[in-house]
Amino acid sequence: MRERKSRTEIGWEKLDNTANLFPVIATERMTNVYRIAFTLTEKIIPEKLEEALHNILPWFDYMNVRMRTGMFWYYFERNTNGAPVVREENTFPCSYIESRDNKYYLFRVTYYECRINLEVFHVLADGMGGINFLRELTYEYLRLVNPSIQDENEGFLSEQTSLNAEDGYLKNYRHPEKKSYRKVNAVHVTGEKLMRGELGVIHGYLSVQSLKEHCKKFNVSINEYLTAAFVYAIYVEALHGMAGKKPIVVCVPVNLRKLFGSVTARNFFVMVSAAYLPEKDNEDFETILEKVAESLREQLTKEALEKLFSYNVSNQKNKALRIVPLFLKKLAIKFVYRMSAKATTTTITNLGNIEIEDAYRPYIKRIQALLSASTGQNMKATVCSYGDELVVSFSSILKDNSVQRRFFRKIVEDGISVQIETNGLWSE
Amino acid sequence: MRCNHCGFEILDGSPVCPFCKMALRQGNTEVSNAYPEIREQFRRRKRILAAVLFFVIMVESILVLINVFTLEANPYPWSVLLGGILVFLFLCLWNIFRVRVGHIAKIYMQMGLFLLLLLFLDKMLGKHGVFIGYGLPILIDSFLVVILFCMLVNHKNYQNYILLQFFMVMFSAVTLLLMVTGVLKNQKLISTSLVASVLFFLGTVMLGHRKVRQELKRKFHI
Repeated sequence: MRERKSRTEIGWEKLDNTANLFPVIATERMTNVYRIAFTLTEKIIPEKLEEALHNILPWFDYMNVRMRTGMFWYYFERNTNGAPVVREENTFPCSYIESRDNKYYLFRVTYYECRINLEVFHVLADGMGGINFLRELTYEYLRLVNPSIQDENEGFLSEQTSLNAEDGYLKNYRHPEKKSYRKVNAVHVTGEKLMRGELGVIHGYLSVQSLKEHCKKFNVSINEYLTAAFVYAIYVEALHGMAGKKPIVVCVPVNLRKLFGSVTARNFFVMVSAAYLPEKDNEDFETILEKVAESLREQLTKEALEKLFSYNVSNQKNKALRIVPLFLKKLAIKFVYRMSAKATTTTITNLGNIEIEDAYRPYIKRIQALLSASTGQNMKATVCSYGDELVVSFSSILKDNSVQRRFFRKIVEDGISVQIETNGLWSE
Repeated sequence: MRCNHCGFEILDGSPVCPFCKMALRQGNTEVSNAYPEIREQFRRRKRILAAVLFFVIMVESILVLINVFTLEANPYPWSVLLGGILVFLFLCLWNIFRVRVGHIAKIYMQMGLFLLLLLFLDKMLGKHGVFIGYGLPILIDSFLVVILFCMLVNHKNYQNYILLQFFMVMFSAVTLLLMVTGVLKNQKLISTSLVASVLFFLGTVMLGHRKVRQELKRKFHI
């Protein structure tokens, strides 16, 4: 890997619009850390992984930072402490990243057996930014372990990799109409919780081709189908198939890059909500699917998405709010977040099909992703695919896993076979 | 292994289905766990913390009981005073040993704890501002020395302490205001701490030049 020229001055930059939220609300219980994992075909060699990280980190300015506290805002500063230590996985997934134990980095790289895990505090980047970094890390690792790999880029960064770290929100912001945050309370999936700090994980592996063919029959996308299946599972297990006054609201993050022509590696997404109000008892899946698909399609236009993030940016640009000291801003942000958390049931995020260069495909077996739980959202789902395998990963802090079971059973009933893997919390 | 009840193939080698808890027929092929076994190790750490806290609560409870039993002989609530000091010491230890914050945040916290102790002692001992009047300027001067020490040890990043110095100046200004309004009375000590903090701050800004000014720009960016 080509070495980057060393820089004498320590640069700094502001957080992107969405990132301002995460340091305020992050706690041990709500870590705001996500994980992306690449399972390789052979066991990981830790020394080589650490060397790979050391080689590529200087190129990734958006990852190579530490977060500092200012009077009015948090900000990033280039981290001059050398790459973080690569350790064997020894905590629950998506656990709190203690930057002081991690050379002040806001991400961690761990390994277990054949799997490389990248866990990122959401303040740095969204899922696409995380994949961007982990993919390049894995390529470099594989080049070190397998010198025979014929790489078109001759050992430099892949053409798929972006080093762009602009604030996409500020760049594409337009003056918004008046709006406020959602106020209607949503259904919450509750129950006895696992011990504090524990996170239950269930991965479901299915065929992309089979799923695509099945979704075609209903004229819906994979995302719409899986979101509807999630809503259906909550409706059947948490509401027992009964009508209710509160809607089931599933947050679906939407990647804004293609719509706005951005290649930023930082956060550039917006949350849309698929809402389903159970008006009847024993509603069938097809009706729920229709309503969820309609709810999502209404919101997935460029204008509607622009309005959503422009409101957030307008708050950041408001002169009166800008001069409020950070400790007061934090109180206000926490308050607004808690209010809007009541209006959300859960989140399902789809990272889409992850592209890997042909030269490295034979060495990468599987790709998975996970989200941490948050206030009011005791369970979340993450979807990603690689090749013909689609992985739906549930992360939950609840002891009961009937919602996940109902979800996967629905898929099996629809004629798609599912393989299940857990982190063992429900098998004791 | 297949769960016939749920219809899923279970890959992680568990003896029961994670959903319905039906026993699974174990195959001949060896299956490795996808995740490490960390549950027990995680629980052990939490027990140690709970034990320390319980010890502190137990000691204070005993002190309160002794105070109550001897109230006739000595009507002063000394157990509350000792309890307050005990809580202060526990919080100091907790602050020193907590991992999740840096040393600058610990300095802020320690100042806050000392301030609370001074107010508490004033109230409990009925001294009406004596502890605060002497304690505050001494506290400011002590922390200026601590900051100077930190800057010498961490001389490569001495600019990181500029915001702390700024707060010391603000803090000294507040004590001056309290002195002017007659709340605090110790003129010499208060004036000395104000001059020391202002000189320290100005010296750092003027001698630190670009590095310090950049740090101030970042800290105060709006």
